[in-house]
Formats: sequence, structure tokens, C-alpha cells
Amino acid sequence: MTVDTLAEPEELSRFREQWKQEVQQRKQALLIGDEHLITLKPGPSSQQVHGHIPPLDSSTSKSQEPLARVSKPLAELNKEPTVVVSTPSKPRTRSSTNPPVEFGPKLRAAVEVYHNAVTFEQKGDLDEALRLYMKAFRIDPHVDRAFHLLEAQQQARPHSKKHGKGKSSISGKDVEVLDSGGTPSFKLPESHGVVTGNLVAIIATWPSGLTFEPEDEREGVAISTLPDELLVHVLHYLDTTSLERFGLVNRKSRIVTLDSSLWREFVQTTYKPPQISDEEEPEALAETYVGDFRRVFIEHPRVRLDGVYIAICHYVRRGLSESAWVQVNQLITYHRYLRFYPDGTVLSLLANEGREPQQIIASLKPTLCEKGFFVGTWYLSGSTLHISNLTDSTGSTTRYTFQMILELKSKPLGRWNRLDFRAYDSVEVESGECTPVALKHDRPFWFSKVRSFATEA
Amino acid sequence: MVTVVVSDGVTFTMEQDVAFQCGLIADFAGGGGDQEEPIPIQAVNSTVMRKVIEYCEHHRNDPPQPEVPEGTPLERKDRRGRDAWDKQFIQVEQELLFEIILAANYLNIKPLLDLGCSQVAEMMKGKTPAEIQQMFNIVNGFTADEEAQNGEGEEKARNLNS
Repeated sequence: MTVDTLAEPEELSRFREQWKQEVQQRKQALLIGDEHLITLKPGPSSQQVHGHIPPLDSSTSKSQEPLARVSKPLAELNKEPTVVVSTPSKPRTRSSTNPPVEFGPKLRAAVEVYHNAVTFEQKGDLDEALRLYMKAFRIDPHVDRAFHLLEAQQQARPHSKKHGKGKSSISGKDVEVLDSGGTPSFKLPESHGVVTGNLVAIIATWPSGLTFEPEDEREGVAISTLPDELLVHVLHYLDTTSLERFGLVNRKSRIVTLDSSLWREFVQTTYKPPQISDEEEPEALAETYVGDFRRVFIEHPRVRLDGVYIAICHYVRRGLSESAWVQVNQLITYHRYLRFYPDGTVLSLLANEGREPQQIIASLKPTLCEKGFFVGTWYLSGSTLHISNLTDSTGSTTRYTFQMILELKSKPLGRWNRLDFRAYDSVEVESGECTPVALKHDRPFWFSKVRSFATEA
Repeated sequence: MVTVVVSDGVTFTMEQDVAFQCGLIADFAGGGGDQEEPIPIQAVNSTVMRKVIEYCEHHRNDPPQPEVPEGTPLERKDRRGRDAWDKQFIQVEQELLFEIILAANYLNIKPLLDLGCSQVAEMMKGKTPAEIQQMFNIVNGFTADEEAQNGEGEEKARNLNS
């Protein structure tokens, strides 16, 4: 508009202001109406539709004031809490005195799906977003309002809950969020236990009351007849590999396999001396992982007893030659083997090439007696493995024993499958004096699982 | 003699030492004398009850179960007490197997419950998630995102074993 405002009569400018305002309001009303046709219907029917969302105190919402001065239906409309948040483009501020919104489990599930959809949309994955939006609306047709209502509430209370993504507080009663100094974690309903780590973000979005759905609709799902406690009883018979595999079957199985009684058992049978020091308790150990026993088992160092650690070492030996023109160099390979027992015994074998590892592994028992075979004791402290009193099995050198200090690591494929030498000493038995052994050819140990060891351990 | 009547109206009569392996019947009969009224067992049908009685008759002379120390993994507990007869006995259709487990739980027959559950576990062992889905007729139902996470999970599962 290029009209010179100064030249205008005062009345005209006032009129124009009023008119602009009215247009603005009408536009807004239209927008609202468009999104929520149903809310424009006056009378008790609309109230019924929104029965599960308690109305908010409209007086606390300052941004509604300009609207409130207009026509009566609009003013009534403003009492609907959903109107306020139905235009996402307009940032709203709310007083923190607003009562917290309580949703039913169905709506809560829907909101969680909706939230995921939003996340996907933001990431640019529109197909997935669309699929989830549709799913959310199928669960509850008013999910968008509920979502925005929650969003607005959370913006208004940024400090009361720090779980920024808005997922956690949506989850409501079924899944209680534990505040654990930055580590996201979930308390699963009833006896299921605590979950931390990557799984939290996934599980938090799942609705409660998961079931086993049939792949083939014509057939029944016999396993679904078992109540959770019996299913957990079944899972008690599985080893960790089978258990985790079952966890990958579907959502329901994932949740059931997280039952802390299962992982507590693994932790209790695994983490005892010499895997941990005498003072440590498995229970206390779990506390450092926010009570998540599964995580203890995955992340806390433990020496593998179900196989053998092998280091393959090479060196080049200069050969002797009669001819001055020919120099023969030999590549010498030798293997170091370490096998650990739960009672704190460790077997160490240095073997030359020429014998097949399979053959050696089969003979790797405390009763073995040969050159290069030593029996000692081990204990783990954190991720540092101490091996001492390595004594010659043939009894030929009794003046010296050996000790090793190694670092236990997890390398990409596998758990606690690598041992790096930190120190290797010979110890004079009488004086206790340590002399470092040269380690220039030594390579790290890598773990190999041995089936027969697994059953013995 | 103890008489029970199951959900489909069939009546079973058995010796007291057979019947009393069911904790529920033992509790019901209260340990005293012959029961005149048949004991109603609504949660179990006759097919399953026949299996249950077969099990109880076979084990009527068993010594009482030794107490297993707390903390022993069931995986290991299972190795005891599962003889050839038990293995043969529990080789049944999946549906019947789950019904036996439910009945054993309801009737409170601990060894039979353990036998059934360990059999289900046995069926799962060494199978991939896809094979388990197929075996139990379970739909996967993970989202694409979760599936991606599962890839890592599968990797983890393979390497977690101790």
C-alpha cells in the first residue's frame, strides 16, 4: 500500500486498523476450522469428542486475548485447549501453572508414534514419516492435537524435565524414567528391570501390551498362550546367544528378554573372583550400570573361559649359507596359547609351528606336560589381567616363574576377545626379583571359541 | 483314590501318589482320606490331562527333588533329571506342548513345568531370529529403523556368547 498515511483522516486510519484486525482474526478462525472442523461445532457434542483431554485454563494463555474480543462462537472456541496449539507456526508461551495433561494409554501410544513420524519427517524420510502418521491417526484420530498440546507444555516447562526429546515424559506411567546423570535409562513395567543405552530410544516408543502377532493369520500363535512369567521361565534355559537371538524376533520378545532376572543370573554366575576382585559384588557392579544387568554383561570386562586366546608371532631368522651369493632367511612362526579356568588357573603354552592348532587346543589341559607349557594363576582387575606364578610343567626350571600383565579389550567383532601384552617378567623364586622378558616379536592374543571348552567352563 | 473332572467333562480317577504330584490336587484334597466329590479342574482339557497323568504315573516313585542351590543357571539345572523317557514324552506338537506347560503351571507340577519350558528353549536354541519367527508363526513387526539396529544386534548376539 502506497498511500501516504499522514494525509489520511484519523477516522479512516482507525477504520483501517480495525478492518485489518478483523481480517486477521477471520483468517485465524478459518485456519483453525480447517484443521479441526469438529471443534467449530458448538454445543455438547464437541465437548464429548475431547473428553479425554481435560480443558486447560484459557485465562493463562495470553496469546488468546485478541481472539477473545471477537464474536461469540469464536470466544467459545477459545475454551477448547486444542485451538491454542493447532497452529504450529505460531509459537506459544504457556504459564507453568497449567495442569499436566493426562492421556489414556491408547492416545499415549498414538502420540509416541506421531512423535516418531515427526522425527522421520525432520530427517527427510518422508515415506516412513507418512506411514507413521497414518498409523498414529489410525490409533487415535486426535493424535495431532494431543501431540501439539504436549509439545507446548514441554516448551513451557523446559527445566522440570530434562529429557529433551519429549519422548520420555510422554511415556507416562508404564515406563518410568530414571534420572541417572546423563545416562538415559528406563524402568520397565513390573519385574522387567532397567534398560539403558541404545535400546532406550527404541523401546520408549513402543506401546504397552505387546503381543506375538501371527505371521500366517490362518494359524494360531501357540507361544502367545504363555503368560510373560512362564515365557521368562522358558528363557531361563537359554544361553546369552540364544536369548539375544530370541530378542530379535519381534518387539514383544525384545521386551521379555530384557527381564532382569535373566541377566542377573548371567552376571552372578560370570562376575565372581577371579573375574572381579574379592571386594567387588555383582550387585554393586550392576549399580554402576544403573542396575542394568544386561549391560553389565555386555560392557563389563570379563575373561572368556569358553575358548582359547592365541597370539601368532613371527620373526625372521638369518640362515647360514655356504655360498656367499645366497642368503637364506627363514620366517619363523610360533604360537602363544592362553587358556583360563573359572577357578583362577591359567595355562600358557608356547608352541612352534609344525603342529596344527586344532591338535594343540585339544591337548591344552592342566595335565599336559611339555616344554614351553606353564601353569599359573590369573585374576582380572578392571580390564587389566594379571597372570602370575607361571611354572614350568616339566619341572626342569624351578628357579624361575613368569608373570604377565595384559590388557583385555573388545575388538569390533566379538567381546573381550583381545589381549595386549603390557608386561612380561621372569621372577626369580628365591629373591622375588623381576626381570623383563624381551617382547619384540610378540603380537596381541585373539580369542577363539572352543566348543568343548564352553561346556567344561 | 482321587477323582478329578476336567473342562470337557471327562472324569479321571487315579491313585493318591499319582494325583498328589499335582500341588493343586494335593492342596485341594488336603491330604486326608478318599475324596468323594470329583475335584473340578476347569483350566485343563482331557487330552492334556491324559498327558499329565501319564507323566505323574511314570514319576510316582521318584525320590523328592533335590534342592538346587540358588544361582545355578537353569541351563545347567536342566542337565540333571531329564532322562530318555522325559525327552520322548515331551516330543509333542507345539500346541500341546504349550498346553502342557500351562497345565503344569496351573496344577503346580514343578518338574513337568521345567521339562516343558526347557523343551521350548531347546527348540529355540541355535536358531536364527527368522527361523524362530517361522517356527512359532510370529510376525516380525519391527520398523525399518529398528531393523537396522537389529543388524547390529544380531552381530552382538553372535559375539556376546560366553
